[in-house]
Amino acid sequence: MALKKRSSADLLQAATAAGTAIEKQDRQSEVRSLQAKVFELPLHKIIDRLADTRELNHKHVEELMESISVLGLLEALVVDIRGRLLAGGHRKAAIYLLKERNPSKYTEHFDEELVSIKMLPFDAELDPELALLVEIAENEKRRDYTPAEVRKLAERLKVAGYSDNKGRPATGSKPLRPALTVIIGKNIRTVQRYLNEPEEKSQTNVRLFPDATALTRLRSNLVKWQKTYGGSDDEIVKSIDLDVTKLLKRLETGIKKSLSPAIENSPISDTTPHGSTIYAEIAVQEKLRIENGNEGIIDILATVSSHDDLHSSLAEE
Amino acid sequence: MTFPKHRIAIAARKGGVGKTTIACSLASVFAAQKKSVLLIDLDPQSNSAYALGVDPGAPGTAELLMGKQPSPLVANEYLHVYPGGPNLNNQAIQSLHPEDLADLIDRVPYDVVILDCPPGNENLERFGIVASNITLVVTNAHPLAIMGASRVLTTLDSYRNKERRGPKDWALIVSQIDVRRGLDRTLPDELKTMYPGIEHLMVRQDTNLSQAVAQQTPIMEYAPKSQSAEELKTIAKWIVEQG
Repeated sequence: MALKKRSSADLLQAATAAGTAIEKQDRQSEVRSLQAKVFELPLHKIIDRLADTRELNHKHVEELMESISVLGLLEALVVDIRGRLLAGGHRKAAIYLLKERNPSKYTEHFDEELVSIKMLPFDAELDPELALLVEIAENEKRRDYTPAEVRKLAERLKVAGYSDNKGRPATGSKPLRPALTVIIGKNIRTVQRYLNEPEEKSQTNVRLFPDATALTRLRSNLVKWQKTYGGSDDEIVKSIDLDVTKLLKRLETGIKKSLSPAIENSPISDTTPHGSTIYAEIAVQEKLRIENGNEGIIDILATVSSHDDLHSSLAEE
Repeated sequence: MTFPKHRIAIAARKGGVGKTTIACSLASVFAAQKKSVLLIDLDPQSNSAYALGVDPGAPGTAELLMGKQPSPLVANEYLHVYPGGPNLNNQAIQSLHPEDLADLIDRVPYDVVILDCPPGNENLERFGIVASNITLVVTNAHPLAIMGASRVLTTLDSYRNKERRGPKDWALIVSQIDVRRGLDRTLPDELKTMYPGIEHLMVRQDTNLSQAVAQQTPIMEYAPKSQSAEELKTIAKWIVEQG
């Protein structure tokens, strides 16, 4: 049976219909690829935050560079969807310093110049308020290393050529314990104790009530911000200012509450977090919930604010 | 310095319909009019640089996207080229934002930027389309190519409807037309009926065009008086008229 040839109009209809139908999948795939989590960005694509709330501490940057040159970047930088830095200013500066001072170490740790990042799904330019909250949350989050973590770090340092000898270190040698004091921000006796201590039972580091120190610190940051930017005529800054005032009020209540049972709650051991930031985190998460109604964002933010932020605790203390 | 006046993406989604030939030839037409032209090849196959007689393996678009500021290759006084190449497939490039190329060519000192998009790879094609103010969608008179073109046209519509960055004007170029073939005679008119709101342009089958590419010589140097050269001048004229 001879096949009837279809007219060219028919062929055109069929082809465009198929093309348009597949294009729907193109859209979905584009959305997926835009939403795909990006875990690394080329260094130069990580751009400075719009307004820096703090000056860099150069000594810290130097120390961090030392640490990154040995251990690599332990904790990802936090950026918005366009790669604008939200948290990790010192770490970023330290990576640039490493690139300048020790290009071969830099290449070793950052293949193809790719740097680990955590990308939060919002645009800091469109939502500077949220960006500020993320920064505060990150800055306020401080947690001490557990002895087990310190011992792991010590092992890695030993592999990297640091030696743990008793007595005065020989010239040119890389002594382990002083290096550890820099990384974990504790004195040499604490480091010694950690290295000698047997495994201890795990204790939760998460405290349900914010302690007064964290809250006062957050308060003083906010007050500082208001002093600097409070009088501005800029609409965005004005609206942030209003929210900051509200947040300050809530903070006052929080501080009073956490001061009253201070004696029962006060930290005793070295392993207790001394700058819990739960309050700032709650603030950020509440805001995200209100604005986006998006559980996914909250999840991601919770990860950012997770308590395994090794680098920031040594960098930005 | 201002934005390059004409930023032209050439896309088809389908391979082998004449994207690179049209991109290189159009670049040659503008260069012959003494407009400074930068051709950016987004194709990992890196054919454009070869077609214009420069080194297709030199650092180019991938390095530009990675922030390394490579020097464009010089095909002639008015025509410079960033070659494509396999580095465009790097993971680092996949992680970039679709508007990154648009930002990079924001202030390049050229009158015309031509973005030669690759077949198949939507991610790389998107860099070109988003960076353009005019997109030329290329198809030949065959249903498989029309299928690809209709995908690009629908995407362009959706960008404009969402007021995203990207072209405000586009045209459909029917390429490789040979009137001895039945579909080549009928489909161009039927496409006009199917897509009434846009400009329809044509580049006929012409050995001069394929020879210019084979000889690695821009068309305005190889065969400036050919039929294809005239057709490409018509396309260039339409682009200039769009402002």
